[in-house]
Amino acid sequence: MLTNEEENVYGYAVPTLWPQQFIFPTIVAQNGGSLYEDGEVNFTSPEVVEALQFQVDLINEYNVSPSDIQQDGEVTLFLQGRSAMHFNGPWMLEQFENSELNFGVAPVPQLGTVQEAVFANSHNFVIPEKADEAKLDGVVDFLLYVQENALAWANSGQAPAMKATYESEAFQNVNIQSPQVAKQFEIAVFNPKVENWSQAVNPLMEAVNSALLGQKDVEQALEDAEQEASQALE
Amino acid sequence: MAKSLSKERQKQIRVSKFTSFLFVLPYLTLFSLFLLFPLIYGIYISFHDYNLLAVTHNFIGLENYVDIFTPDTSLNTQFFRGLKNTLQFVVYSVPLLVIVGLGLALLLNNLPKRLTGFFRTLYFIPYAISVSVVSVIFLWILDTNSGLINKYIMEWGGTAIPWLTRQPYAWISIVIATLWWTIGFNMIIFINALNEVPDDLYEAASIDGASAWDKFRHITIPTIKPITLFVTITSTIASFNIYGQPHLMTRGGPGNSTEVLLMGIVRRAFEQRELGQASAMAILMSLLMITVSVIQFRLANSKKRGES
Repeated sequence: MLTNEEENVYGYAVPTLWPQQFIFPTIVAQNGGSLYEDGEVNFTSPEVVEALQFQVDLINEYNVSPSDIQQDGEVTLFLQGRSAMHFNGPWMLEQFENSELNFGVAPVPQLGTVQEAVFANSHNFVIPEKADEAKLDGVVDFLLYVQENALAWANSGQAPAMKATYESEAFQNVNIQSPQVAKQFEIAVFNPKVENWSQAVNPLMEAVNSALLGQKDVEQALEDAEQEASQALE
Repeated sequence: MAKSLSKERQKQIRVSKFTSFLFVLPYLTLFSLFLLFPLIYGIYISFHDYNLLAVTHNFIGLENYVDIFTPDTSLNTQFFRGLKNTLQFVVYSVPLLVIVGLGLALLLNNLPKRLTGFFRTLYFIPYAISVSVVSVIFLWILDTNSGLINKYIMEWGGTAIPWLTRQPYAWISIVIATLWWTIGFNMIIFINALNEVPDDLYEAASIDGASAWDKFRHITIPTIKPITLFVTITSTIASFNIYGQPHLMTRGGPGNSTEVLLMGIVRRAFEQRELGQASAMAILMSLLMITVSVIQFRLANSKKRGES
């Protein structure tokens, strides 16, 4: 039992803002669901509703998380040793390592009902349509250079795109988190291939926020978000 | 009878004007580069269908503006939700910014002389900090579960207050953070205004048996009226421009209840890359702010005429 309300210690403090952008789609994918299906925004499908209801229940029914967590509240709780588990990217790692926190890193567990999956995002190189033909050779050279030096990218905590890099010895020592993250590359799930998808994510995150803060009913929140997201993608 | 100026004097004036121009030139250059030209270019962009990644940017006249007012479009929702929240903040913050600023100035002027300088610096220091630092400070102090304030509230037997995750506390927190951050500026302006009130007015009133409150109401307030108007207008403009505090402290939450207009404009410009639409939103916002300032100015001056 990791939660002890008398001592103000919790098993898992549920974030209500960032990084739900990563956590929520992860649980949806683990439920075997998707946020966009057949050309339509899909926020009210059972898998998505369950993903949100599960997190709300962590706060209200299972009581493993305090309520009313604000931006970065869960990070502070983890740093104080009052939240046992924590999901995050590489961004807070240095802060955790510099504090005297006794912690380790593991791959994302299966919180959903169907399968293992993890949401992933990526940085991309883009070549404009009207690019100068003469520059294309230079572009290819640059891409090859990035490919060969993928370890430098990994050193900043990011996931390298080259399989050879993340299977190398050097990569295992880059930090304590990246090798754990690399174990999940095979089950990574990305955003739907929809132009301007981030505009659909904004209302979704508002819905997640409102529901987790107990200010909106899960289904109502997702319905409103679905409407606003569909409008935004028009 | 006007005597035409001597050649010597004319030359002096020309040189003097030229030197003045040279002194103003650096500021004029920066002003033109970073304020004037972007403003004109922004107005120009707002009349175009200007997506950052699109190859052509067609002229569409007032279509962006019309779309903002067309119900049930995402542009319309974004603009008016943002406007509603910005207006809320203006209404909540401006009266406090003026009254607390004046209050602090009065307090400081009534302190013993040797303490005035110290407290003046103390109250002004927050103004020198950037909004990111202010927001992080308040994020930590106001944390529901780990924050300083709730820690003491709970020790004294109360329940923790969800400062940043529930209304009306979210607005209260943002207003308090803004007050703490910027009140020093208004206070300094009011201190100067109070010092400009002639002492003999107060003396004459004392001789006539006026109380402190009478003196304040009938001498201080009317005399500093122009400064009060200045502080009100500048505070209103500053409050209209609010962005950092709700973005960093609540991310526009809970839900979207603190998503202010400038946040919508930034999103439209830098996330959706629709510069034409964002420029139209920004121009409309500016026109609104100008209108509000003009109204404030007219209201203040019409009262003046009434009193004389």
